[in-house]
Amino acid sequence: MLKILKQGEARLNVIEYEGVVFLRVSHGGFNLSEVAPHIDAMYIETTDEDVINGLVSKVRESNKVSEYLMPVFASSIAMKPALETVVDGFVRNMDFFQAARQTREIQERIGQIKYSEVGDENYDDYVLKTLSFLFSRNQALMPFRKRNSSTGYAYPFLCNLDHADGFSQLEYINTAVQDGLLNTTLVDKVNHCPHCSDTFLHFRESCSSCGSIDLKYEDLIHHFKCAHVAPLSDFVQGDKLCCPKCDNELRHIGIDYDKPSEITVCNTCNHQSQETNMTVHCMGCGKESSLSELNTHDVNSFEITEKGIVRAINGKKTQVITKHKQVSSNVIEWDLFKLYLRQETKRAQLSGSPAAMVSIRLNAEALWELSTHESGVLQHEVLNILSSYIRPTDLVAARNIFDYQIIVTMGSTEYVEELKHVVEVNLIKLIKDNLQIESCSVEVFSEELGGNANMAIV
Amino acid sequence: MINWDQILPEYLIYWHEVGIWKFVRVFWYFIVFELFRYILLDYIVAFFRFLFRRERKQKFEHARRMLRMENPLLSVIVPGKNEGKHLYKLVKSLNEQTYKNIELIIVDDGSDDQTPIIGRNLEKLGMIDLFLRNEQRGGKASAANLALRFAKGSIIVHLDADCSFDRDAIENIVVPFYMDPKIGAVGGNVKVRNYDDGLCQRLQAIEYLKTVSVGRIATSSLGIYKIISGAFGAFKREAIMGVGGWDIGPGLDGDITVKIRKSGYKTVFEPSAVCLTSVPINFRILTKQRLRWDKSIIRFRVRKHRDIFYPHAGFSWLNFFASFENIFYNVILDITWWIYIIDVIINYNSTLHFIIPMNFTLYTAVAFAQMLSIYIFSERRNEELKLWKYAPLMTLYTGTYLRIVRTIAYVQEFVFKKSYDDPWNPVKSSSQAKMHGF
Repeated sequence: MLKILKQGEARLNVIEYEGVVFLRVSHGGFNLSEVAPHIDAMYIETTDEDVINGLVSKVRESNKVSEYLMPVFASSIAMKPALETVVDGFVRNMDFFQAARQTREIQERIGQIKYSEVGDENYDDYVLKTLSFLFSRNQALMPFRKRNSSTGYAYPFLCNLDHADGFSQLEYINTAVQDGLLNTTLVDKVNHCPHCSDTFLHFRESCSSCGSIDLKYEDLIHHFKCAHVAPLSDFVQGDKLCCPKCDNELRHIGIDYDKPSEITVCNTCNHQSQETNMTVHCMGCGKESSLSELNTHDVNSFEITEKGIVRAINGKKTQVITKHKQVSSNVIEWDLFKLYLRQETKRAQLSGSPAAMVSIRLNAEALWELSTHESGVLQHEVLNILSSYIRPTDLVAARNIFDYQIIVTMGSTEYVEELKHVVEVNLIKLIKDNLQIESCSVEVFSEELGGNANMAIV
Repeated sequence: MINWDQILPEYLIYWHEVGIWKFVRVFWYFIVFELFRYILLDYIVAFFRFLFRRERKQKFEHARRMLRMENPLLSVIVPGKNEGKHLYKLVKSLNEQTYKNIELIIVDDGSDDQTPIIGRNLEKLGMIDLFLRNEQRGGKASAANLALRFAKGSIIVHLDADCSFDRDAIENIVVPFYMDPKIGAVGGNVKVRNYDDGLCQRLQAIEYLKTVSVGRIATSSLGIYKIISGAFGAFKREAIMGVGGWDIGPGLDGDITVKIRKSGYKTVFEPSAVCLTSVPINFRILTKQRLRWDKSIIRFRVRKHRDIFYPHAGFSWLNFFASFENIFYNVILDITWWIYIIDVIINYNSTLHFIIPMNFTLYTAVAFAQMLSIYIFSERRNEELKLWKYAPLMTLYTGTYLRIVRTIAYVQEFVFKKSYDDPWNPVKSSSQAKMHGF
């Protein structure tokens, strides 16, 4: 149901569609902080690309999570390739069905984010904003072609974040890749000027002798009958082709003659050759370079990793300890655990023998304050305890410092219930005794394998 | 078992007893043709060259000084297909030359190997002046003509890519142009590089020394030099441009020589311009090569340039004799040899056991006499001494093997015009040449 409303003194122009409220704007004359609490998304109704970009930037530059992650849609009359990745979608004929559905999905994911504001000063803040955006949109950061970008490409969200352009924009992102928060996939390689890094380059052939670009290309003609070979101009007599060696007319290509190759003649120095140099003229700084001098830069798409998701949700430095000391042979890496889980689920389905997955989650805010080393020690202890209570055929893995899972093979319901109990008691005791944390809880629940239980983690 | 001790004296005694006229009657072919052409003529020429050696040397040195003063640009052109593997060595060999004002043009005639990459790299490195490539193969003549079109030098030197050269080879091949302005083309002295690799190569090495090194000194001295080797030849620019460059082969080196001679220029052989080439490594490859070469005698000398024998405004007795000598000693004597064999078999059937050993004895004696003439003429005589022990085998090699190959080639060309089917040229060119009788 579409309702077009004007709210309050500020005369907000909003559209409500099935409970989702869109702020309808066509220019930047509003205070985002004031309107944000009353709306779920923004709908831009203009065809001006600059205005749309300006409004999106106004939203993305905010430091409040609810504001910079706000879904932004534009009218389909403004649909242009350059805007496709800047906004979350286009609204066609005032049909907000798709936009509302998308907004609910985004809002649902934003709801998982445990902080409300980020700073705007350093690498962590910049990366956190990017990670939370990718998490909220559940999609990769795909580069799009941008003619006036010095790299030839720009990234959605980043280009509206701080108006940064070119390679500097990617410095933080590449550091996040090194930190394991993002994965990359190669999309393109761009050449850029070795002098000014501009990618607006003009490639042109030049004389291998004097470097002039004033070249003339001419076909070579081979007269089969007398084996004479020379440039086409040697054969041209009026409208006809006549062989200068034997005076015969060349009538039919393939029968009388062919064109085995071509020759390049420099109009400046008269050098004749089949070899020309390729030179590059930078339209930015005007300097000439050879192909080998150009710098090459990878253009990647970026996908958020599991570590990145944890950071996007919690807003702190990662607590994921992916490599831990070997506790026992039952403790395996998380990726391997997922593989075992799939296999065990299939086995349980085929054999009909009981199997279960036990999930454990530590709920304690104070764990976020732990250093990386302390987190590692805690995770090691938790795994130690878990491995001591499971049977040799069971497997346990840590997803992060909070989440652990156990595959119980061939286990009866009684065994699983007993395991859940001892795990809960011992882990609460571990946290309270060692970290002096009073407000903590341990959630332990189990699911039978063979159904859809594996969907919980896959 | 044959008892050699008894046979040897017996056949010699037999020929001693039957008298000289019977000997001449039976061995007329050897006495009339072989002895005169390949022994007497060589020694007569050697004698006169010895007599005038000082004058010739002075003239040569004077011409060399003229060349160095003028220092003209020489265009070295190297057409070929799939010759990339030889190019670097060739360039290095040319870099060593005493004559430096050279432009090197390499034409790749539709190679399907790494030649274009190698050629372009050498051009980029400045080791060759111009690398041209025909994407579609046109045949060796068209590749040579393409190089000729872009050559800037006043003298064009045509080389094969798989050759290497004495340090003064390029200079020496150009000197004769300064000895006589009527000289339009000069042939280099092609010798065998891989003569130590096997019997087939050794026999060819002796053959090259006989026919190329010594044989061409003789014909050149008589003014009837009729083939400038494609592996190493130099042409005055106006002479080769005047005849329109090369026509479709195979045998285009002999053809271009005749064309230049017919246009009024002299052609000479320069023995001091030494080039080494690799020859076929077995008799199968050698047979294919010789079939191709021998067919070209029929195609060019007998058919295309038969007008040399007709009286006309441009008639030249020297050209007449040059072609006559070539046709006579190759085609007519080949036919005559078979007549001789039939003659001996029919008329002297009962004395074949005396004739055959005597024939071998005569030809072996001639082979050693030729080795002596090679020794007299050669500038590498001491290195070539090791070939002497193979001289007796030349009777079988040139007297029998090459004669049979030649006969097959002549029949193929006379009757079937097989040279036009040779894959050495692309079909598009051969079919046009055949249609127009070239």
